[in-house]
Amino acid sequence: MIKPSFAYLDPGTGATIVQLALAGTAGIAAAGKLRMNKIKRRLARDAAAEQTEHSEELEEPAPAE
Amino acid sequence: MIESGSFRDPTARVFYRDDRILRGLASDAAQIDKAARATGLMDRLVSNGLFVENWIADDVIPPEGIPSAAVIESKRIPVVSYPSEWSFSMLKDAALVTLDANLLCLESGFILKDASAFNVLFQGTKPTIIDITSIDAFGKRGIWTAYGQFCDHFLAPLMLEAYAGIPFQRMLHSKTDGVPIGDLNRLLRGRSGVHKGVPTHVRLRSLIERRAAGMATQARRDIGQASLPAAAIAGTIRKMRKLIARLETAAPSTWADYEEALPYEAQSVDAKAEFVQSAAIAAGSHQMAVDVGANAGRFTQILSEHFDHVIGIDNDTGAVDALYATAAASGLGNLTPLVIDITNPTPSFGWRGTERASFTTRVHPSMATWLAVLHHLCLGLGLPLEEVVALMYEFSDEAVVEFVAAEDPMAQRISASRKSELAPYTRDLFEEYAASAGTIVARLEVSSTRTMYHLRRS
Repeated sequence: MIKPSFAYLDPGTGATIVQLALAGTAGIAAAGKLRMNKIKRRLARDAAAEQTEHSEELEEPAPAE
Repeated sequence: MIESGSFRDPTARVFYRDDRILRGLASDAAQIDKAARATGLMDRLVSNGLFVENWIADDVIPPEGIPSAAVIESKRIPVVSYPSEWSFSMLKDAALVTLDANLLCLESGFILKDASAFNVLFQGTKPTIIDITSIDAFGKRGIWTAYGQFCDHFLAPLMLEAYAGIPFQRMLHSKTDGVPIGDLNRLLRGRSGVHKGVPTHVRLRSLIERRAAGMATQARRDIGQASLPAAAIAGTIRKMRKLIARLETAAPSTWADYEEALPYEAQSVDAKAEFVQSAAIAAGSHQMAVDVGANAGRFTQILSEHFDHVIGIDNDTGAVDALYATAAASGLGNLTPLVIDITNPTPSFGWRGTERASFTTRVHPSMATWLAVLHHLCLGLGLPLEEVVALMYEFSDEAVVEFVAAEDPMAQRISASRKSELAPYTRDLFEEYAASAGTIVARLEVSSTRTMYHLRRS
């Protein structure tokens, strides 16, 4: 089995999320391993963090789950 | 010679030897290419006209520093054009070819890893993907890596023209990465925001990208691991295809009215056509001709009978779109219309200013026609006659020029509101400049105010 070559084009986090959304419920249901809830929680938390801690470093690692 | 525009993909580099176009592939890329050929995918892509004809060139050893696990040669496409030079229908067709190739790839367990509009060239009026090594292995699950790039290069400029009525060419001039989706989001205000595709591909993506910019690195990594089954990706691509196929231009065009308003007598048009025809036959080389200010392309079509390749250029996107449709419908396989403003042709641009070549370095016509153009340049735009004649000799070996006198009704119309004094513009002066840098091979008065010339550079 051939592996995809390393992608020189970064799909971008935003574009990937949009694609998951575009695939719709069928796509999300099929993609069981996606841990969509986890991603959603992260998105919500990051947005909340963004609002309360403007000065915080963006690159700071997220706390362990 | 190594192609200056092919550094972005490190697994495949383009180089030229003599007249051949070659790609040196690294071992991973070579393996994927081999598999794509073994499954018959490459044959299908080529026979459906989606990919340029290409084959393995065993006899070539790439130069130092170029990957050499495999070498692929592809057919040369004589007219190299860029997205900012295409009309609406041309960009739309290039988008559809990109999507169709992706669907065909997915059926065989592959996908195109990028969706750059620069990967498409026109063979006559047929868009063809030239980046053979953009095929990547997909397997059963994955992500459409090129979704974002596809939107920036194709969907956003098309939406800009279809939903906001702004011709996309000026937004893509000297751009290598399309129209940023955030810009489009801000441009599509009010009612234009409810059009098909805008809520998801423009609004939602802009919103999520703003959010994603503030996400922690680990969360971004998690999302990077996400994948969808091939069927879901194919579904997204088919929906995108439907969306693109429905888009129609809403940009205003001046050409249609203009063509109708021409006060030509049928006789002078016939005389002009005959003159162009004899000049074309007498041309020293029949490789390529360019019709400057092609408009509806009446004379471009005459040239296409005598030259291997013909480019009809006009700065009006509507005229180019119409010529594209005419040429495609009449099966003129050697005619490519392009949106070029001869007073501001595409410069060289991109990385180090050389990634993409200027229009005048890419296109070297043996003959150019300048019919009913001179008065626009000199009387309309105020360009000095001597400069324009110099450009004519610089651009092509031979030129067919129609001199329109200042007394001509059309010339009068163009300069009617001009108050300032213009540089001298007379037929005698034109002949003097033309004869000083070349030869007047033939000359014909087609009406009291219009004279045709066949010029040859000395």
